Amino acid sequence: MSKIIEKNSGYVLGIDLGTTNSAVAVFKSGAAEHIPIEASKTMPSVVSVLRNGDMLVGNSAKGRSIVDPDNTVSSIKRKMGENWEKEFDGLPDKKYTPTDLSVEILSKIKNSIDENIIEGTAKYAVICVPANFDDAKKKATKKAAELANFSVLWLLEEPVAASYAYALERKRDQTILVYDLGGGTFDVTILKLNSTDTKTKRFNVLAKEGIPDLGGDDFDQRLMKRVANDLMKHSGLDILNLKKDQGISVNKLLEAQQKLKDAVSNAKHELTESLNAVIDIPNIVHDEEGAPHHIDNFELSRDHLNEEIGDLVQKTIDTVQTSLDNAKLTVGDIDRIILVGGSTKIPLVKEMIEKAFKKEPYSDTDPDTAIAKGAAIFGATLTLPADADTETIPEKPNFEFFVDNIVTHHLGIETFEGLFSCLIDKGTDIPEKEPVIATGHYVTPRDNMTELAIRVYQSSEQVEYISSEEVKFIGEFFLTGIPPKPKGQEKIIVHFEIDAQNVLKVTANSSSSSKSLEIKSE
Amino acid sequence: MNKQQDQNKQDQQTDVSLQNMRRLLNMCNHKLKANTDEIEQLKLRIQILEQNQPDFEIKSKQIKQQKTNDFESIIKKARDQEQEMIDLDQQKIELGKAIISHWIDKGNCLKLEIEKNDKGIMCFIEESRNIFNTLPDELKQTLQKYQDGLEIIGRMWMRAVNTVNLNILTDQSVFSEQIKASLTYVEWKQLIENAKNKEDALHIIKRKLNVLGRNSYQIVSKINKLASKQQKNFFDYMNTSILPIIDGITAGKKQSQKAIESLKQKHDKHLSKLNQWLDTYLQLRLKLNSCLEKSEIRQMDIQIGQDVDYNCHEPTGTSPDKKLKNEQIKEVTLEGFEVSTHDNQFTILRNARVIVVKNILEDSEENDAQS
Repeated sequence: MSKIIEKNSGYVLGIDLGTTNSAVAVFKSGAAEHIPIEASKTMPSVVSVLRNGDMLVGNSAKGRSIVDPDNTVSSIKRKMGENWEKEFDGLPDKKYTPTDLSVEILSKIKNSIDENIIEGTAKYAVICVPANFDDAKKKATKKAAELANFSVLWLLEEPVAASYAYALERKRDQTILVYDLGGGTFDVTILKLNSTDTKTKRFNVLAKEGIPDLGGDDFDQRLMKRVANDLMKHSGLDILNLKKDQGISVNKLLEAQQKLKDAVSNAKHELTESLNAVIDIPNIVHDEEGAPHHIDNFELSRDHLNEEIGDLVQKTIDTVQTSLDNAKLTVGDIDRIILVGGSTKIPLVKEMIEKAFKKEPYSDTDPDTAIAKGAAIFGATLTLPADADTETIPEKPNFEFFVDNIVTHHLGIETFEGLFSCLIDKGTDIPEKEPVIATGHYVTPRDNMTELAIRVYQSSEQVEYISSEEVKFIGEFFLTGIPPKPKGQEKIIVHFEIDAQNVLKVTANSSSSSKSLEIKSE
Repeated sequence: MNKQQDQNKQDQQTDVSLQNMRRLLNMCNHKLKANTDEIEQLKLRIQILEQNQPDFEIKSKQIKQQKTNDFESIIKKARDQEQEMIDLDQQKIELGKAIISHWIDKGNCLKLEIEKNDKGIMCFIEESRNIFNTLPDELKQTLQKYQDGLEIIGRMWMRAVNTVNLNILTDQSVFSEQIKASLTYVEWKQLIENAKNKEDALHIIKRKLNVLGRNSYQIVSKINKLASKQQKNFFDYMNTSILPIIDGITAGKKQSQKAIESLKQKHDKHLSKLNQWLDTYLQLRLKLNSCLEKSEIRQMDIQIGQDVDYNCHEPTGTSPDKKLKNEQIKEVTLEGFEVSTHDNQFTILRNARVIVVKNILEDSEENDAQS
């Protein structure tokens, strides 16, 4: 019997590895289309391990978050690049890092893709990362994808990906603001784009900001509280309070919460089109005497929804203003505000943006899959590695993207007595074709030093000391072989190099030592 | 002497001249011979060429024929490839159409059944209200909240049968695109007639096949999206309009039975009315079951004690149970449903929600339980 040789697909996948959900798309026959994962548009980014060691990923894993929360991990993206480990009861011999768990999510995506669509096995990918992901998080993401047997052609920032999808809709020469409000995070990016040239599409990132723990899930929680408060008035039962002794089991309360969450979520969707929605949940819970209680004709208007979430949306507006200030722009400089992420479907989001910036936001693209699609479009323009052995060679689009990015954090090293010596400032432009290089000149702080620890830090704000709250340690290495000399006489030169993907390389040299070390991106 | 000398001199001169002429003649003869040879050689070459002329013609004809054959074979291959592509995409389009029509048929079926049962369901609610109103005040007070539950169910039903909501089931996606007919032999021939060589022709054909493939794939992609939308409409309607009514009936019936059970002894003379009132839940459920059956929707068969299947059971809580093992189902809190697909399979319409067993055991016991 002849051996079946699996051939790689020549199509480059665009993968949106989301905090809550992940999505994948491909650019095929002149258009980007999302690829269903287990018949759904998106897959929950959740991993769970059974007692027998079997690993569940996606919807099935999400189901275990209640049964076995200790062995179920969600929102692992928030932990990427951090010194975090998890040991599962079912797999006691291994400690899982965020990278390991992301490998499982990406492997599930890889194996779920219909090979008929991409004409071969999934191999080449552009992976999206949040605009504010630091170097360590990016490296961890790339490593995860490679361990999942993807060949990562590029790490693309999510808002930039969304802007690609937008830029390809038609020829545009604009400064745009991408407002990305997902289930759990908010990001804003300002870009200058020019897609008027048939062959060359240019992008220039001007500013990036974000709120890592704000999203549509918070909106649902607020609405649930409103309805639950009303139920409490009538029944005396607080279904959101699991600790209070109400004579009802936790499971019954959780069951009621789940029913309420479903109803609230449906009402929220209904309110995107209607001004009013009615919530009815007969027999939502029974009290200790067995008497039923209902959510009876609870009228939820759009005004109610706005009242509940207004302050949260305002936080996003404030962040947009910060990003404008950082880019030294006013809203008058912005040609269009692009909405991305499922939560931007809520009318108040559009209204508040319009009111604050006197500009109607643009939301024609599908906000759930815009990022994955943008990444797929970009992926189609990339050249596969020379050794790529693929089933098909898809036709390449006749255009190319060029991105001039900016540095997302202040980058520097620790010097004497904990001072933060900044080598590259946040907001520095990174041209497409060449990295930004900065050099710092230092001297040995003590007599006869033969080695020196180079500790690299990043900071969201300009600070003096590494002990400041905004500062985060991102890596270190030891420069050895320094010739012993009295303090201050041996020169140490530190080079920083950061490329358009915001991947940082650090090299240090002593003046008379030929040895040098560096932090590589891989 | 002088005469003799003169004669000798003249003879000598004549002899030289003669010799010169002979040499010249010789030279001329040589040249002539060479030219004759050349002529002969040329003649021979011409003769050979003349002899070979038919071969050249044949070869030239053969080259032309070869090119024609190459192009013929290229066109044949291109047409085969195109036809294969069209057949494959046509199959996908037919599949998409079958899926759309499946969900439309199902929607129509459900709509008809809902309309058929509309009055019946409202009658049962009304009847329950009438029975309730005939009960003594004490019983009324006890059962008021249960009756409220039934009234809410009635209101939810009225919203579900609202024309605007029902129409989502039968709104048909418009799909008029068709894959263009394959190119004719002449069209393919015209396409490559200016090709310089085989490679050039192959390149032109590859480009054309790419364009054709892209165009037909866009049609396939569109019908796939429409098929997904049609299915989503059906699922959305069931999940937001019908299944919450069933959930309300299930939860209400369970609790009402307990309530009636506790009232039986004290109010035995009203037992018949109470049972009649309780029967409302059963009747409502039967009506809704008929809607589900007509649409080939079936309730998931879940046994208490079976292992949880995370692909179709969504755990909402855990509970210890010494008779059962960890991760077995202890209770079903929300029924799960499956619906038939175009290929006579069943897919999950809604996951069941379950309480799963979680026993806190000592290590040794845990091992025993697992083994």
